[in-house]
Amino acid sequence: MADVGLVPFQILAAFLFACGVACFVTKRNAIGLLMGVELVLNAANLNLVAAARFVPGLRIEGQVFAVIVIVLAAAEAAVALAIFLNFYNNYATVDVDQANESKG
Amino acid sequence: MSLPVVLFLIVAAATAFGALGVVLSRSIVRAAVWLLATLIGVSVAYFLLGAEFLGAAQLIVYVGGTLVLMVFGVMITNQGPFAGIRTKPVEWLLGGGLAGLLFLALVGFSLRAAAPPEPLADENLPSAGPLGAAFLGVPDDRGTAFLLPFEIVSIHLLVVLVAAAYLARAKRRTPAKGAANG
Amino acid sequence: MFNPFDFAAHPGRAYMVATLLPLVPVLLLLIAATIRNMARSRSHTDSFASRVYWLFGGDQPLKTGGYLSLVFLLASFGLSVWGLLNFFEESQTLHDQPKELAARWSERGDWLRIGSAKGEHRPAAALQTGYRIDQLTALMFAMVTGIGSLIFLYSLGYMRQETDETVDDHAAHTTRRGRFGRFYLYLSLFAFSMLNLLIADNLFQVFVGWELVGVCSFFLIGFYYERKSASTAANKAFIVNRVGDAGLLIGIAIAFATFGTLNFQDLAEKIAGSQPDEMSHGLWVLMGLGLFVGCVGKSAQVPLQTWLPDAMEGPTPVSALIHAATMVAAGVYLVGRCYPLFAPEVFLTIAYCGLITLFLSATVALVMTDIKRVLAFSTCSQLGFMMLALGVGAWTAGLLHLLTHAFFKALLFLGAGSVIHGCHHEQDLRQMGGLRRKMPITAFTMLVGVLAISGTPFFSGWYSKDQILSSALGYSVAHNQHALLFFGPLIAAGMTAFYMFRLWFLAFTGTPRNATVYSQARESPFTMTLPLIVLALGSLGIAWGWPLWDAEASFLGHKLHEGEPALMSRAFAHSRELAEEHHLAAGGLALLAALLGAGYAWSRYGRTAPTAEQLKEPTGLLANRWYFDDLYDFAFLRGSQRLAKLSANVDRSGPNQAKRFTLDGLMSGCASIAMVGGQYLRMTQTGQVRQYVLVLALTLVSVLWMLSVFVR
Repeated sequence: MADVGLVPFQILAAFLFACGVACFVTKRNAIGLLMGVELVLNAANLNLVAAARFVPGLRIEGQVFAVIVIVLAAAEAAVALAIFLNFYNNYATVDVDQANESKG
Repeated sequence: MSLPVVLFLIVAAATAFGALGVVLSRSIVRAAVWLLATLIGVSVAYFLLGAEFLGAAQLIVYVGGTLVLMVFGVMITNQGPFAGIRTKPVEWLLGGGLAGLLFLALVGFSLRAAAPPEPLADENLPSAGPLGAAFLGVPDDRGTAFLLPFEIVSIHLLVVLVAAAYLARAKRRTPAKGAANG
Repeated sequence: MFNPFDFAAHPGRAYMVATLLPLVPVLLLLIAATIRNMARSRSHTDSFASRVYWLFGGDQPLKTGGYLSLVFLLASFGLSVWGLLNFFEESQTLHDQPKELAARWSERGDWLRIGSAKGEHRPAAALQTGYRIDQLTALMFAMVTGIGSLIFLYSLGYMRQETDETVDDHAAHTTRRGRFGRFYLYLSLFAFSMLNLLIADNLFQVFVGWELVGVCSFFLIGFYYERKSASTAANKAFIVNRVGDAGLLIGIAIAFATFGTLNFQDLAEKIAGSQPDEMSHGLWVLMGLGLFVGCVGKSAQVPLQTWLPDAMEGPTPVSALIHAATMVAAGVYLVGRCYPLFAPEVFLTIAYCGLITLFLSATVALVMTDIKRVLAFSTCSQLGFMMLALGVGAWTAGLLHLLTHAFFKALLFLGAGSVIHGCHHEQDLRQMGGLRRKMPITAFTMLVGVLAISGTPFFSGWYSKDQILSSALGYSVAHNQHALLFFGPLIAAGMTAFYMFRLWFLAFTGTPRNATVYSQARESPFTMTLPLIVLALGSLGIAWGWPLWDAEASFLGHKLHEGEPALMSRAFAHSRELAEEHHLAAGGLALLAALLGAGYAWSRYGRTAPTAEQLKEPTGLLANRWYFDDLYDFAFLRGSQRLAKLSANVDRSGPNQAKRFTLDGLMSGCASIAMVGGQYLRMTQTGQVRQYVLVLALTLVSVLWMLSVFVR
C-alpha cells in the first residue's frame, strides 16, 4: 500500500462523505436519512485508518479512534431507529416532512 | 501499476458505486442493499490498509449489526402507501450541488496538505494484539494507552442500550395523530 | 481590606456607617413592597404568590417598616453622638496638630477616573468621594439624626391614618390604599441623602446629596398626590430648586475647570494662594455667585422662595423635618462650607439677599391665616437671617442660628401638626381659639418655641439672634453705607415676635371661634407629645453656656467657633471688633424690638378677642406674597405652557404621512422595524427537518470553503 499513498484514500473518503451528505439532505424517508449518516461515519473512519497507516507519527491511534467511532455509530443507529419507530407509531408515516410541529 | 494500486482502484470503484447507489435509488430496500455493498467495500479497504481487526469489526458490527437493524426498520415501516415518497428535482439539485461543493473542498484540502514523510513499510504495521492491549491499558512503546476511552465507550453503550429499549418499548398504538405517548 | 468598622484608627468611619444606616430600611422596604406588589394580583387565589403576599403584610400597609426606620435612625444618632464626643475630645488633645486631626477624621478615594495625565500614572481628572468631619459637620450630623429620630417617632402617631387599608381623602374626593410604608421609605432615603451631603468633603458629593434631597422633597410634598394642589406643589418645589441647581452646576463647573479639584480643602488652599494668576477676579465672583444661586434655591431665598409656602401641602412631619430643620438648612450649610471660596462681592450679595428675604417673608407672615403658612414664611425669614449673618462675616452666629432654629422650628411645626391632628385636620387659625385648655402640652411646648424664636433671653434663639444682630451692627458701623443690614433684621425681629405671638394667641387663647372644632379637639397621643417635650427642652437649653446671661458664652457657639475658616477672621476683623464693642447695644435693641412686637400682638389678639374685621380674609400685596407667583406665572409659565401645547399638537394632530417624521413616528418606526424583522425571521422556522439539515450542511460547506480559501 505504500505506493498508493494517503491522498487517494482521502479522495475516496471525501466522495463517500459527499454522498452521505447528499443522501441525508435529499431523502424523505427517515431510514434513508440514517443511511446517509452511516455513510458519513464510514467516510470519516476510512480517513482515520488511512491516516494511521500513512502518517508515521500515528501508529494505532487512528485505529483506536476508528473502533470507538464504530461503536458510537452503532449506538446512535439504535437510538435513531427507536426514535423513528416512535415517530411511526405516532404519525403512521416515516416521511420526515410530516414532522413539522416545531414550526414557529 | 503494481498490485496494490490495482486492488485499491477496484475497491474504490466498488465502494464509490455503492455510495452513489444509496443516494440515487428510489426504493428504500434497494438503498439498503447498496449500503451493504458500500460497507463491505470499506471493510476491504481496511484490510488493504493493514487494519485487519478493524476490517473484521466493521463487518461484524456494521454489516451484521447496524445494517440488519436498518433493514428491520425498513421492513416495519415500509408499508404500502409510503413505499414511494419522492423528492422533488429542485431538492436534488440543491443536495447534489451542496455535496459537490463539499467534495471539491475536501479534495482541495487533501491535495494541498503537505505530503507526509516516509510511511511505514508493510511489514511493520501494528496488528490486533497491540490494539487490544492498548484498550486494556497496556502502554505501547510510546507510552500511550486507551483504557479510559474504552471504559467510557462501554458505559455509553450500556446507557444507549437502556435508552433504546425504553424508547422502543411496546405501547398502545394511538388512533389520533400527534398524541404523544409515554 | 477596607474595614468600615475600624473606628480606632479612623473614627470618622462611624459617620460613614451612620450615613449608610438609614439606607437599610429603604432597601428592605423597597424589596418587600416590590415583592408584595408583584404578588398582589394573585393574592386571592390559593398559590405560593398569595402566601408571599400575606407574609409581607397582606392588604395592610407595611407597618414594621416604620419601626425599622426609627430604630436605624436612632442607631445613626447614637453613632453620631459618640462621634461628636470623640471629636470634641480629640480636637482638644490634638489642638496644635490640625493635620493629624484632619487625617484621622477624613478619608477620600477616587470614584471615577477620567483620562490620563500626560506622562504620569494618574488620571487627568477624577471625581472623588470622601468624608471630612469637623465641628460643623459633627454638630449638624447630630442635630439632623436627633431631630430626625424625634420626627420619625412623631410620625408614628401622626400618620396613623395611613396604616388603615383604605383611606378616604376628602380633599381629593377619592378612596385609596394606606401608604404608611412608603412614607418611611421616603423619609429614610431623605435621611441618607442629607447625611451624605453633610459629611461630604467635595462639591460633587454635595451635589449628589443635594439632588437626592430635592427628589425626596418632591416625593414627600406630593405624598397625597391625588390632590391636585399637592402634586402641583411638588412640581413647583422641584422645578424652582432646579433653577437654583443650574447656578450650582455653573459654580461647580468653574471650580473644576479652573482648579481640577472639587475638594473643599484643596479649593480653599488654591484660592488663597492663586489670586490673580489662575483665576480672574470676574470668574471668581461668578463661581461664588453660581454656588450661592444653588443655595438661594434650596434655602428659599428671594427670588426663589415661592416653593416653600406651597410645600406645606405635604404632611406636617415632612414640613418639620425637611422644610424647617434640615433640607432648607442645606443651603445655609453650603454657604458656610464654601466660605473660603467667595469673593467680597459675593458676600455682599449674600447679605443683601438674606436681608430682602427676611424682610419680605416676615411681612407676609403678618397676615397669613393658615397655621402652617405662617410657619413656612417664618422659616423663610429665619433663613434670611442666617444668610445675612453669613454675608456680614458672622460665620459662627449664622450657623449657630441654624442649629437653634432647627430645634425650635421643628418644635413649632410638630406642635402645629399636633394642633391639626387634634382638630381633625383644621388648619385655619380663624377657626381655632382657646385650645390651651384642651391641649395643654402642645400649647405649653409651642409657647416655648415661640419664646425661643422671638429671642427671649435664656432661650436658645436669643443666643444666636443676639450674635447675628451684634455682628450686623458691627458691619454697618464699619461700612456705613450698609446700615440697612442692621435695621432690616432689627425691624424683622420685631415682626417675628409679633406674628409668632399672634399665632399662639389666636390658636390657644381666647374663646373658641368654632364650636365643632373645639369640642372635637383633644390632646395628641404620647408618641406625638414626647418629641414635643424633648424639642422644647432643646429649644430652651441647646445653646446654653456659662455664664448663662452672656450671649457670647454659648457652649455650642464656642465649639462652632473652633471650626471657623481661618482666613475669615482676617477679612472681617474690623467689623468683628466693632461687633464686640457694640454687643450690648445690639442686644438691647433686639430685645426692645421683640418686646414691642410681642406686646402689640398681645394687645390685639391676647388681651381682647380679635374682632370680626381682623378675621376676614386678607387681601392685598402681603396676602398675595408680594405678587412673586403672579410675576413668574406671567413671565415664564404662560410662554412655556403655550410652547408645550404647540409641541404636543405637532405630534398629535398632523397628517398621517407627516407622522412618520415626528419623534413619535420615529419611535413607533423603530418598534415596527423590530416587529417586521421578527416576522420575516420567523419564516425560517418551518419545522421541516430536512430544511434544518440542509442549512446545517450548507453552513458546514461554507465554513470549509472559507477555511480552504483563507488558511494556507
